[in-house]
Amino acid sequence: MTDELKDLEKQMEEKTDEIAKAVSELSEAVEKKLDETIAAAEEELKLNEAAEKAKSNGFFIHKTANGFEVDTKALEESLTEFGDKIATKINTALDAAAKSFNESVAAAQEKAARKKKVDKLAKMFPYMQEEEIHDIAEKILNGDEELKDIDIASLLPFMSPADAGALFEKSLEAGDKLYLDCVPYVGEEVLSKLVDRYVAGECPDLRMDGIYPYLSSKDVKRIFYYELGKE
Amino acid sequence: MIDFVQVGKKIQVLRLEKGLSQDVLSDELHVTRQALSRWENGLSAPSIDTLIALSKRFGVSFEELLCLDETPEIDPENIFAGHDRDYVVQCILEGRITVNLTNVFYQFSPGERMRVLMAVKEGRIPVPSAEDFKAVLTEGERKYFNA
Repeated sequence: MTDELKDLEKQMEEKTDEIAKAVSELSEAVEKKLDETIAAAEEELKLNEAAEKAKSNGFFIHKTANGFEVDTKALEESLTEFGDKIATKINTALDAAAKSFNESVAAAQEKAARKKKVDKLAKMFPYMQEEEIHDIAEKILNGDEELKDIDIASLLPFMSPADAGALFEKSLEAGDKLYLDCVPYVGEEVLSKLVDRYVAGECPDLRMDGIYPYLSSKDVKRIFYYELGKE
Repeated sequence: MIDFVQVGKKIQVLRLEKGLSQDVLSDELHVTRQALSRWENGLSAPSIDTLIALSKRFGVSFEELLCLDETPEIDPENIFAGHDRDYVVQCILEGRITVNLTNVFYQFSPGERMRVLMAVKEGRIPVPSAEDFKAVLTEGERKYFNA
């Protein structure tokens, strides 16, 4: 009896060992599986977070059962919207450019028409009466818009010294270099009066270099003595 | 009015008398050689400061350098030869030079013709014969003259 009990006890021990070993192995396996599952879940979470972040940064991707794929629908919608915005901007810019171009063309045409008119007028100068030349000179002096493109230098030879003198005074006062064109046609008295002012120190900014060639001998001498006196 | 063609010739003569090359003189005056060449050829006028410097360098008065008190000699066949055009026209208008306008009128440019014609019409300068003079005018000038 005792031998049988001993055998049975031994068998039970062996079985218990086997069961313990099996349980241990099972535990290890379960634990390993659990770790793998947790790792996979963490990985999944990271990928989801990455997908969300990519989406928020404008990348059109989404997670599918097979992994990550391009969200073509969203991408298409976004590109369409972007394309519409670009098209609107381009059209606005084109409209503005067309408007500006049309305005430039109109202004250029107007200027060309005005120039053609004044060029035609200029060709008639040699045939005009003194009064007509005087009227034109007066209009120029008054700043008539219609004559603003006229080449005044072509009119000067036909102007009376009085009108040339008036134009000379006006352009000198305005600081317009036109006064240098007028000098050869201005009367001696006008230039002499200018020399009076110059040697009196009333025109400190005036350069006589462009004017002295047209002065009388007497006035040239006054200018040079004045300049020598400055040294 | 100053005859810069004559002034240019004077500058050249005085420069050569002093034995100066254009390079040396232009260096002294702080100008380019090209500028000095243009003055000597009557193509442009020196500034007042430069003329004063030149008169001192050459030891002459500015009146002499600018030929201020000289009477120009004009060749009737070519009234502008050797002279500044504006200067000759101005001398004719002022009566400082006497020319036969009928014979020389063709030598003027259109603008110069108009200036001279204006002076003739106003009686400031004489013509020997009005009829002969009209014959050398263009149709437009004749209309202006007769008006």
